[in-house]
Amino acid sequence: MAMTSKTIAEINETVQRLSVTPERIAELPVELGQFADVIARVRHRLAFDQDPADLLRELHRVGAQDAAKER
Amino acid sequence: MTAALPFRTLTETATAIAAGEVTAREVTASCLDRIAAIDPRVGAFVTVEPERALRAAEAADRARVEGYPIGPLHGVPLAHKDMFYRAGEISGCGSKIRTDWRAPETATVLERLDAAGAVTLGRLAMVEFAMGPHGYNEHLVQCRNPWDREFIPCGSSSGSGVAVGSRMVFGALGSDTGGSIRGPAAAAGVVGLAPTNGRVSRHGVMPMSFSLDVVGPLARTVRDVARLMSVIAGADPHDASAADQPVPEYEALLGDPLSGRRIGVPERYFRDGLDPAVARILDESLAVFRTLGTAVVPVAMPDWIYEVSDLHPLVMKAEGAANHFPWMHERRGDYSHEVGNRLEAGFFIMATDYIHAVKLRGTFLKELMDTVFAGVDVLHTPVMTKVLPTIAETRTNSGPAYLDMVVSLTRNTKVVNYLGLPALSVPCGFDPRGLPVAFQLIGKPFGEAGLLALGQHYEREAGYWQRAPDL
Repeated sequence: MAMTSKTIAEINETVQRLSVTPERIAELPVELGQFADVIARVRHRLAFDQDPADLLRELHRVGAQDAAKER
Repeated sequence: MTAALPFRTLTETATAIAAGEVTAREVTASCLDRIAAIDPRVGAFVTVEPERALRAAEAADRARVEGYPIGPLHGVPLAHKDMFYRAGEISGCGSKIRTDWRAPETATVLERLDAAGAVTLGRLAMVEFAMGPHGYNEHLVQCRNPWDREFIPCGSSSGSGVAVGSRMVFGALGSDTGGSIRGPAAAAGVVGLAPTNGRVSRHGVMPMSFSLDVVGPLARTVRDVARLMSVIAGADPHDASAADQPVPEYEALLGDPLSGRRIGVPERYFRDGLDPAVARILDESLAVFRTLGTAVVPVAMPDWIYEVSDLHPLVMKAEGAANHFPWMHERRGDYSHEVGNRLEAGFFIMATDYIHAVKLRGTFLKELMDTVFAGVDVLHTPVMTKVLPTIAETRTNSGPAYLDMVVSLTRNTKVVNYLGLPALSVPCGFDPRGLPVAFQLIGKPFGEAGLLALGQHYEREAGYWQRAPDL
């Protein structure tokens, strides 16, 4: 579900309190909509036990494995 | 003779200084002369420090004569993107906010370069807070492409690419969050390496997006980049994210034979919308690799690579907004219109969306290793699918047209940062207007040595590194 400029303006007024121009608030739904859409598209790939540290774990696993092959 | 000195490569220069064929002072003075002559036309430097550089060069010469150990960069002039901190000195980060800010500590990478004997000539231009791929910055003098000054230098390590490409320094450090080393290297016709996430310490380096940022070198040749990597790579007690993986002898491994290596050419995503002029040059580079004995094979890319293209900016903007939260409230007027705008989106991303985006990184990387990289050693892709735009063509700084410009410059590079992989940008020809074109080799985690070996073999065969812009 994409955010509307009205929602963005309300969040800004009550939470973030940035000095964002009305013109920029009118533009933001396009970009935020892309983010919301991509999360919706990948949601089926998410799992409870996934961890942000999985990236580093995999990087190091492959790195160590290949280094061992070189030796 | 001295006017020719800046046209040597970094490693040739280091060898000549170590052998006493030329002094560090002569080399440094010749680079300073070239900066004085050239930089007003290309805007690569924020600050040049001639007296300090000459003092350092003279000290290097004395050390050599007196028999002290000679480091691998002894007396070699370098300069770096203005976001590598040195204790007590200004690091402007391309911003108005940090114009007079003095760093409390020195970046580990600078300490390592100092220990290797490098001479620092000054601080280099960058996009404000490293947020932008075109390479200009309204707080600074216009940074320009050395091959044609009407064209963009790419960013955010704009000064690093231009200073090396213009033969004002022998090498430079940059940072890369979505292509900020590889883009400027490609635009300037030099080599740039975005290492594996964690291969090089980020301690004392301005953060843009902490989980995507990497630090790496730009230089004229692959061998030069290998030399710089051998100095800066490795674990760092000051940076818990710096990996404790062994650092190979990159330069010694450059000559490794290529037979048996497999280069994968992605069948989609990376070549989508490829400009015909870029396609022709890329195909010629693949032909060179075939003659070198490598197998060049098509590879199918997973569907999710298209999603990564949108997940990357989500992560980058959420992390960037968090970093800039205080200044965006207290000093909004000191940001450029463009960078302030770019940061604003990050304040409205939901925390769960951000966490979902980072949770998937390991899953996608593992799948890529198990499928695509099960059959190839590296991927060969264009750094950019389009020919370089002019400065005027990229002047839109908000709205859908702006987003399209950013996407066209970064779509092939940013997915690499999301996955944490290393990638080497190598010049491979010139478009019909005379602007450089480059491919990137994307490797497996901590596979920098293999990328450099492939790049070095290609470079020696193709010879584009020998061409310098006419400035």
